[in-house]
Amino acid sequence: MRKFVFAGILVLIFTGGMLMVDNLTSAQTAPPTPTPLTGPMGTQADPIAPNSLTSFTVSNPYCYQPDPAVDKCSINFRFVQATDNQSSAPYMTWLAFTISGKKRYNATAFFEGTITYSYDMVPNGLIVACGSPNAGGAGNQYGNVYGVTIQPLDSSRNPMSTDIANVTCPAFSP
Amino acid sequence: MRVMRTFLLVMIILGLTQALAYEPVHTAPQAVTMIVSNPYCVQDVETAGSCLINLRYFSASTSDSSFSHIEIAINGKVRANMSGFFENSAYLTGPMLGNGLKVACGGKNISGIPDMGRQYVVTLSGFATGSSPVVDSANVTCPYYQRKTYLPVLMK
Repeated sequence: MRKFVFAGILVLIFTGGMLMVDNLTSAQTAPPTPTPLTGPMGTQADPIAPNSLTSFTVSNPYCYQPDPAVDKCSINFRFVQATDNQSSAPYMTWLAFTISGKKRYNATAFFEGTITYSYDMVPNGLIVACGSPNAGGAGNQYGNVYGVTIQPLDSSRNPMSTDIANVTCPAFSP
Repeated sequence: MRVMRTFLLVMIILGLTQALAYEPVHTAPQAVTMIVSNPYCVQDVETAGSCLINLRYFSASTSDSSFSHIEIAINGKVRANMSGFFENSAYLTGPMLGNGLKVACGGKNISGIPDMGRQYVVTLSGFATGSSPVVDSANVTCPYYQRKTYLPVLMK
């Protein structure tokens, strides 16, 4: 009888130990917490010039094909906003969008310290070629993949922050 | 003999406990939560054979960082794509697709629905890494296109 009680105690101690080890292992393998965002829906404020650019918020860019019979797709963003504190250099002067290395949009900060872009400011979006199926390697449903860069620039056109996204367009397959 | 039996019993219980304790723990993948509005089809110009499919809004998100992208497909052809680069979510409204996604209206009764044109399957999908896509499909019927033939007026 004593032996059974002893065996039971041993098993309980061992089980407790194993559960503790298991909990520790689980805690170590948990996915990393994503970087906290300061903007309502976008990216963190620029760490390089925290005293100048107070916020830089970018929503996801997207690509759509208005007419499947034409090799023209449209890239746009719901919302982009960059704000400068207007009290310390460098001062934000422009907000630029670049698609595959080509500047396609440039807004100037002249009356305000904030530049805001909304999709309806360019109603048809920025037109690009959709590309043939799998042109960008994303599968037959997709065509070209474009590198889209969003940058607030200072008066010397130096980037104050940079956000880059690869945007995949639907394929042109008439 | 009894000692041996007890030892064997302890070893069996320990073995079973160990097997249970080392069972791998997998974090359940987060499924995409989607909120979609009804798609619609409009023939904005009566004399044109093209119609436009659009919807008021389409949003998708995950509670973790596994969000990948959303797609809008018409009859199996992807027509719009938004990836979660800067956000763990995607939010698309009708005006963000310009005038909408162009399709052929189709002739009268072509889909079998009286006084209507073509019918399209509009598929809205949300994707997250490590889990199956969430797919919502709807049949959207367009107004018909009445082709008019104008005969030349011949003067005698």
